[in-house]
Amino acid sequence: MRQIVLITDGCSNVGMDPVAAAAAAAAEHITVNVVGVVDRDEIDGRGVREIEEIARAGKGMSRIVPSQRLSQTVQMMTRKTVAHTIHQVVHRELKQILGSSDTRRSNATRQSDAYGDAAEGLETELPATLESLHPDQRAEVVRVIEDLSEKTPLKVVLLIDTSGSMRPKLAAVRETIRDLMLSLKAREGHSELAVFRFPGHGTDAVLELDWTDNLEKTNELFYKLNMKGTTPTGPAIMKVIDFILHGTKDDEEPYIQDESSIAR
Amino acid sequence: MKGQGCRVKPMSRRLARGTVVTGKWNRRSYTIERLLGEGANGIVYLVRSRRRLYAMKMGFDALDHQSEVNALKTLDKHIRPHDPFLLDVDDYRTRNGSIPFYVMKYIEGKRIHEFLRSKGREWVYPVGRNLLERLNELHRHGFIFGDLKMENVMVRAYGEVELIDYGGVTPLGQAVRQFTEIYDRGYWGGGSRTADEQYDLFSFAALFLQLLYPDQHIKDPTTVLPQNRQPLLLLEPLKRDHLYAPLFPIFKKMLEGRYATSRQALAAWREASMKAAQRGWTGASRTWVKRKNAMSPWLGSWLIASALGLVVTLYMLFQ
Ligand SMILES: Nc1ncnc2c1ncn2[C@@H]1O[C@H](COP(=O)(O)OP(=O)(O)OP(=O)(O)O)[C@@H](O)[C@H]1O
Repeated sequence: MRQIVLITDGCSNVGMDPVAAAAAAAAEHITVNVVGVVDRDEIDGRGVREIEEIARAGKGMSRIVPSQRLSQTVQMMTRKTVAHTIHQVVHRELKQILGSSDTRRSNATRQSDAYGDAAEGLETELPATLESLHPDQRAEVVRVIEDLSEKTPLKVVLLIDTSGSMRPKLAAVRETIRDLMLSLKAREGHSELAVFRFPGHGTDAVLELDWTDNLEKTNELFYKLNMKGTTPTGPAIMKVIDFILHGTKDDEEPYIQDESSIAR
Repeated sequence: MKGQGCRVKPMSRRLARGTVVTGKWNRRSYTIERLLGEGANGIVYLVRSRRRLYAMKMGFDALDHQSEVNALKTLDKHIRPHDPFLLDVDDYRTRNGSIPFYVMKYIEGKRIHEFLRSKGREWVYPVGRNLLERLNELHRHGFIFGDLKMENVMVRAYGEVELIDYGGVTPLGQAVRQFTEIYDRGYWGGGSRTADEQYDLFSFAALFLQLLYPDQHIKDPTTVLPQNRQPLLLLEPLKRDHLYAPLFPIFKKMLEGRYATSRQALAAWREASMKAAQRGWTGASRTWVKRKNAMSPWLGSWLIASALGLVVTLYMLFQ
């Protein structure tokens, strides 16, 4: 199972539309979660909308939190995303077994509006599927989901916006990476983490930490940062997709833009 | 905080007093009395059904909610087969869709910090012991509690401890499901986040140290830099306090993960309670009061006797 967690504090301003990039990730079965980190600075409506839409297109979750809550949020999202992705698979199987296709999507969405904070992104469409089962069957299904969630191998790429306004928040980001590593290590399934930052030397992202399951390396992150002020969120996501699918190639080479045809 | 406001948070819809909730599957009805509290995973109400009171939790997320139900079911089956805590599991159908809920026993008691504040410091010993027993019970059946914190520990009138909120219950060997930073071993650099008995004992120590020294405790853990986070930092305030000296080595061992089992920790705690009781519980003042009471009749009669003796002597001298 593969996930991207994008950590940013504002809007993208160059290159491909990040929502399209997230859709491309989802098409490759890579979930995109987004956390907006906002401390004293405000984020405008456009920024909020972009964050939400990236997550929606990437079939993930989005949250906007102050930096003290960053690590908690990322670790919760990662865990929930695994469970919900597995839930989707299990649900597909179940639908075949039970022969019903009771998805009642609109109901679920409305419920989540009324029911507040916990429901967003993934959660908006999923409760309905569980809820259509009798509580006893539901217990069984959830047991299976939990077991698979704990055991399935997991790869997470953290994609970090290191543009100007994010600088004061990088300590919290480092802490988040350390903390996530700790939680991943505790899982039964093998888990690995990699870190990208953007902007890089071109317009895209730079690999900061290659796949690792080692806690020690997280302290050395983000010391040589690029001074460029752009936020190429879309191209950065595309670069990470490429990395997940094909591994490391030339890091320094800017991402080739003609693949943005996937998007539009 | 300003930042949190930037996403419009829809108001959680609370159910009004008097609302009747009827389960979709089991058809049992409950009348909402009042709100008991709201946690990360749901809202808890006090409800009434056939003149009896229960607590009802309505979940935000069907999957998380069901995990909690599953943990409760397993625990009921193993730990208290004749006296289950979980009483009903169902869905509440509203105009806006279904909300999963479960009904459990209503625990009439106080949260642990309120209890200790109102009852006094010597209750730390029996309450700690009872909590360790609860944890040990879980451990014996292959689970840890995980998210041990003040809000999840209820204490009844005579110090019996009940755990509520089973969202963090995790089978031994798996990744701890839910935790709170200041009580989390991983956060303090005291070890992994894998569920083992030592994980709960670490949280136990962190929790009690916070209960004993609420003013000195670290309020916002994010202000402590990761490189300065050391489990033994939590012990600092105890070094300056003689009242709980017998507990010092126990907390230390818990923070260092050196108890092989919670049973051993429980045994040590009981021993420390005995020691403390022999020292006149924990309060020096109480010992002093006792002694004064014991002394005074004797002292009084001695004074009277000597005064009388003096009078007699004087009387005889003047004769
Ligand atoms: N069985 C019960 N009897 C009495 N009060 C209860 C019961 N269950 C919960 N409560 C009250 O409701 C509050 C909310 O409970 P809940 O278990 O949902 O979450 P929490 O412990 O506050 O937080 P979280 O879910 O975030 O860990 C509790 O703190 C407690 O005061």
